[in-house]
Amino acid sequence: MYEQIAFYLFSALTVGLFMVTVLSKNILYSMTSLAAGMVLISGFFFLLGADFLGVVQLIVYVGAVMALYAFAMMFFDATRDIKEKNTSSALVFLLGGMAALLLVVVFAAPIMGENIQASYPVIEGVGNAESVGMVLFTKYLVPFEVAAVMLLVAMIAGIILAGKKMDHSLTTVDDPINVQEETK
Amino acid sequence: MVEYLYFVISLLSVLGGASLLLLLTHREGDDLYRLNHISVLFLVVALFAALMQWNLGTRGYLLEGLFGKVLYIDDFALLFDTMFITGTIMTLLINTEYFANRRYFNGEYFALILFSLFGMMLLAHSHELVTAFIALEIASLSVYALVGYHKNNLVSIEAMMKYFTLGSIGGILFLLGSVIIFAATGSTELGAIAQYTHKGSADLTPVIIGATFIMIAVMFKIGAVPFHAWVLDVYEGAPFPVTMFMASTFKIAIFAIALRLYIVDFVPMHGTWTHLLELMAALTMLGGSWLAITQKSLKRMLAGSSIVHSGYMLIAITSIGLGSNIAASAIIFYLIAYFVSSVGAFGILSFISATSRKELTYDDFKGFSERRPYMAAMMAVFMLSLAGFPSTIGFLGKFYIFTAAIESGEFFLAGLGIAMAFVSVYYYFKLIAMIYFYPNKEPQKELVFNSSTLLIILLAAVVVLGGMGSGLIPYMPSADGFIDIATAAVGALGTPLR
Repeated sequence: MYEQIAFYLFSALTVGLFMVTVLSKNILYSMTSLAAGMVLISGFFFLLGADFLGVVQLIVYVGAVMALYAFAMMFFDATRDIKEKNTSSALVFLLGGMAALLLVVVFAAPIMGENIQASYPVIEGVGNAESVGMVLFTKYLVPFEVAAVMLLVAMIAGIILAGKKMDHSLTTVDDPINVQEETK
Repeated sequence: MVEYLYFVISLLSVLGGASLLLLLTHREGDDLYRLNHISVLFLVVALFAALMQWNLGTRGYLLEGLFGKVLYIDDFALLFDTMFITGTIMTLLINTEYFANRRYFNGEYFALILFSLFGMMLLAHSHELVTAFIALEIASLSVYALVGYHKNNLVSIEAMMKYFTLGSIGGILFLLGSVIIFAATGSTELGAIAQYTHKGSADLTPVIIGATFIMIAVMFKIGAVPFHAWVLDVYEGAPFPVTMFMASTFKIAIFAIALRLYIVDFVPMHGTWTHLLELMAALTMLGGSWLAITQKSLKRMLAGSSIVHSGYMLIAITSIGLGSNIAASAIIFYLIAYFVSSVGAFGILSFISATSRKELTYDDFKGFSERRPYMAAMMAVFMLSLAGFPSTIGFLGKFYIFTAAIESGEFFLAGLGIAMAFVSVYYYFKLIAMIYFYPNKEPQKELVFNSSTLLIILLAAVVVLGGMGSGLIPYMPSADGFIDIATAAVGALGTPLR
């Protein structure tokens, strides 16, 4: 009973907030409502008993991704409205509508199907985060550790491409392709 | 248990070298020569560690009790390790002049190249899809950054964005395929997947869908024709050493996991893909030839021709699916042949463009034989090998591939491949003609003979030796030796449970 009430409440709020995200012309409103919607989506995970995924959703999407958006937004003038340029709104609606319909069909298909069994039923008595940790630190230890190298590489790449000597232009001294670009 | 660490000395050496190089770089004014030598030192240690393991015939999981069935050690991985390390050493040593003449290079360049190498070696050893994905992403992320290294150059930035966006899609498709396979088989470990697919009674449809996604990711990475849009622009926009690294070393890296999957795990599904692969092989050869013919810039021409070479490899992959016995060894032999020839060809080009700022076109090579007679001869050797001229390693590579195709009854593809090999004579021999049959316009330069020249001569020697019969020189693999190595590597993959 309570679960159903919570589910419908979360659904209505999530849909409403994401509508604001899409329809608002102010980037600040869009971003704030997106963050709020993400928090509510984590509510679904908690309802389903997947507390680990819920926490990950909170930390990654609300904590990290939205913070990234916020930092990126600080480089823009957030008070200004966004002017959109749609060449063909009919096409956008058609493609968007088709994609949405397809998603609904894909996710609704199992409800119609019969003889659905869970291939990996939840193990009773073992916490969600516990079982994830067990797998992560035994079977997937190498990928887990090596992912650190991947993040390091990504960080170095980011620093190299965006970081050093941003004020110092190399354009005029190096390869010729640029020289052509400049003389145009 | 500790003795197993012996088998990962090369991996650890590369990773350690990369980390040390990061510590040694400063904010400004790195001594690039010194960093280059340090990275080559670590690579030589790694290469020796890899070479010491040859003929041991080791097969097994690395520290299975600790890591689980994630990293695998066998001759197949070892062959790829050796090729990757050699390619990286060549890239670093041949281009010593290139980065000395460019101000945008700094210390992290070497660290990124070593990280990329680490990713590729891990990919060769990985026996599990999540590890393979992460290894692939380590290698790709480093290469994305390397492509855009000249960050004030618009062409370079465009190339990086294009490659980053399309390459990420390729990576995501790989991950999606792994997820679907995991959903179907309940494991991401290649051995367990092979057991599932060979069971006979199991429903293979979801596995086929997942495997198809993985194959599309592979096609992205090798630039097969419907997914080739990025190749020319990226190769052109990247700095020359990076183009060399991508075209020779990074291009063959994806085969390390693709062949493992295709030869062992996906055997029962081969029939599903036959027509798709045939079509792609034909399109790739035709499209690549068209792109290569129409280019004036040599970098773009070689990029186009590398697509054609992907097409030849696709013929061999089709033949594996049709049950050809020698196709698997043929594709590995072809990988070796293509690797050696393209390292040489790109090496000479980047060696020449080290001091000039111009983009190299066919016209720049007019009268090259008078200016740099030895380099000209080496270039001719590499072009002959890429075109598949007899007595070079490229000829034998094509010979094995077409033999495999005919053995499996792919007469149309074999015929088309031979026709495209003749077309490739046009764009490769055009360069040889420019080198030898046109008068020299520029003044004679002083002949420089340094380590880069020596390495290029060494590569040319391997190209010729690999194209000729058996051991003229002891302890140096020639044609027979290379095909033995290829067969041993395929044998290490384990007999497919047919």
